[in-house]
Amino acid sequence: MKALILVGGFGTRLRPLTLSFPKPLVDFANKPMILHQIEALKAVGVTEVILAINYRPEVMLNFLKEFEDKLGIKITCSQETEPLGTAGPLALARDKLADGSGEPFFVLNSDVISEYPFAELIQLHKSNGGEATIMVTKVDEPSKYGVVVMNEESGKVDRFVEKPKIFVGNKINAGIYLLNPSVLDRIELRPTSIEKEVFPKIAADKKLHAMVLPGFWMDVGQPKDYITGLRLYLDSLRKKEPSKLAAGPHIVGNVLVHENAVIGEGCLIGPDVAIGPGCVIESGVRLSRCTVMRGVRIKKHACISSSIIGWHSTVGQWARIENMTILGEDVHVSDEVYSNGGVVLPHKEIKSSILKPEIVM
Amino acid sequence: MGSSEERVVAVIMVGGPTKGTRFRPLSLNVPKPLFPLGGQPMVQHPIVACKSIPNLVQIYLIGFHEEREFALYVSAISNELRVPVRYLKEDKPHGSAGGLYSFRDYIMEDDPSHIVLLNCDVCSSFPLPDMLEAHKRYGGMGTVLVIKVSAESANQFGELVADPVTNELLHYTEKPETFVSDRINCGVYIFTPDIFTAIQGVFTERKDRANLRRMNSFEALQSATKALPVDYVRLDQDILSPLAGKKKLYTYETLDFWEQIKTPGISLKCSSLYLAQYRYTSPHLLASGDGTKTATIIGDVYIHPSAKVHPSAKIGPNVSISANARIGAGVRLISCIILDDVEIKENAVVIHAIVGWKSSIGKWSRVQAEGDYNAKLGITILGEAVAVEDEVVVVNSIVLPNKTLNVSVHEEIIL
Repeated sequence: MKALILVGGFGTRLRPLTLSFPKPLVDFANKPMILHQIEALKAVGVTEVILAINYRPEVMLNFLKEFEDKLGIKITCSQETEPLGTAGPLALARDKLADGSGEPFFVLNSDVISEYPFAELIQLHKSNGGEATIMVTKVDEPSKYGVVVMNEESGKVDRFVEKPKIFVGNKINAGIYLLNPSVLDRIELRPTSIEKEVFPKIAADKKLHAMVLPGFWMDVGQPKDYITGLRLYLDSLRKKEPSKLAAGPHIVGNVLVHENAVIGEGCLIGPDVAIGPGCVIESGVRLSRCTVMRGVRIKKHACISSSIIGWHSTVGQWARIENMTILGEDVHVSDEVYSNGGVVLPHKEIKSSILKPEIVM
Repeated sequence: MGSSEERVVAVIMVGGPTKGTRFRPLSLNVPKPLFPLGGQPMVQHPIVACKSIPNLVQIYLIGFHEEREFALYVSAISNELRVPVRYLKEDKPHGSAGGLYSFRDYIMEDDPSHIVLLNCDVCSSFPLPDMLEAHKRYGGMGTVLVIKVSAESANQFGELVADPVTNELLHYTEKPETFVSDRINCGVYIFTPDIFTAIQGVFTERKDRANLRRMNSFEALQSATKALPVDYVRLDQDILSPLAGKKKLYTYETLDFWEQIKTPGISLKCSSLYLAQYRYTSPHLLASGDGTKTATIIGDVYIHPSAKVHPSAKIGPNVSISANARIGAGVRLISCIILDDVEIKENAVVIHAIVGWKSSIGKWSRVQAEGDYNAKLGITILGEAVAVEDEVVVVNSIVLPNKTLNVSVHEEIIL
């Protein structure tokens, strides 16, 4: 089976992290974002993954080669010369997706994390005999999104309503689809929206079904949602593979610690923390609701919450980092500094406190 | 030594990528030395000034940017000016004097009688031929270009005290807390090859002191000054300051303009200074037009020959338009730098801004700032490939590359 992952453009919402790496390679829960999806696809028998990107692939190619070899799955890039929207890239990759086998293929939005119940999706798609099955997720405030109006029993999709003013339903498009090759005949090679132009037509033909996504769902394309997403992911990990989480007197709640990371004495780590490879957490450090990326050193007595610390950065002794502080790659926060929501671009030194949210270039 | 024996080699320090964070977001796309001021790359201004020195035989650019960033430029400018220009990459930062010393073999290859050293990120008229004459008259090891500034701003720089009669450098201090002098270091120097002996002396002294330290445990406990690596030698603190008052160093004062080009805001100011200078040195570079066949031009304006400007547009003063830019009908541009491949659509207005490569400015949109070159958001900066949609207003803001603005923005940094 094949899969297309819509990666898109420059990932500007995840800056400053995406100033150092393209978005698919930014780590989430100690693994490049795209690897979460590729591993789940491989597990249901996908043999080829095509990344639809909107920029030059050279930056990614070395990493992709590494994943290809490790996972034993073929990974290629389909490069858009102009932004083609959410459906256009499928037309661009047409030859790769419609290989003559008649098998349906997956389409995923690269920013989405969830439990990826692909096996159930395949089952459902086979049994409902439709042309396309999309995953939907229940949200509290559907009016912020595009709502999928569906028949709960049959799973058939009636219509899509973009940001509805009155309540029409509480399920929104989760960005995970399983499509028959015939869908490709409905898409032209031009900027096209799959939600606004393609799916409504399939729904009108009564051939579009929806499956309610079990478990969590999050679009982690921006820092605030990235931090919430980590909480949901670790919650799910607690239920499915609790042995992967850290345990011990210095751990509170769900915490993921890479085997190469070192944690000192007298620390209190958690809840909802991910510590990457090569990190050094010195003694007396408090970490909560944060991500610490590869190669970071957190010095003694520091306190970090609700923040993301970028690759190879350091946080000084007694520093306090909180309230959605995002440190880019190679940022060095001096001892005793306080950051309240600072967003710091790569290769900077922070020697004085940031008292209110501000961007440091 | 007769003038036929005298050869001059120029060295321009161009820095490196991790040092230039203050020049963001423009430095995210181009090394700072290649950013255009008055339509020509920043480093070109000192290069052209060096060309006016009699018997100049070689120009070296020294820095720690990747070689490939400079390869094309160096080849093109050598050809255009018919003087050899070469980029030498430092393996690691050695300080301004250390960098010069590490390439002494290259510099001395042509057996020069004089070495001109310039910092690339300095905006100046570079009065090098006159400065060289003065240096020869003084007969010292080195001559430093100085300029008078206001007493309040002097402490941002190196302050120099000179003898008013002999021009000898009597005292040098870097960024002092109290007032020492209103004459400051412009970052332009002329040396005789003895400078290498002086730098060598600093290495030797450092090694000796390091040996001493190992024996003195009390000194080892004191860490009042952060120990620098032995081969990191700063020209100002380690060479000029100790040699002041020993009849080896002299000063030459310029009365022309001078600025340090640290931020994009200041680069807009410097672009205007160079445009004003063209009126005297290269008037053919400036555009003119009265709105009949070509656009109306007010004041100093540079337009690259490949740029297209609609005749109904009004451009200037202090505008620089780079290659392949397209300026539509009824556009008004004041005090701005429009970079390569920018498209500005009909009736748009741009005031006190820098518009990045390949950006597009929509119809009736307005991109402007207050015009305070020194304020953080005093000049609006649009990075590479920013799209401002029709009728959108962008005021006092900085926008990073690849963003599309479809709502108005005030006083913001957009990542």
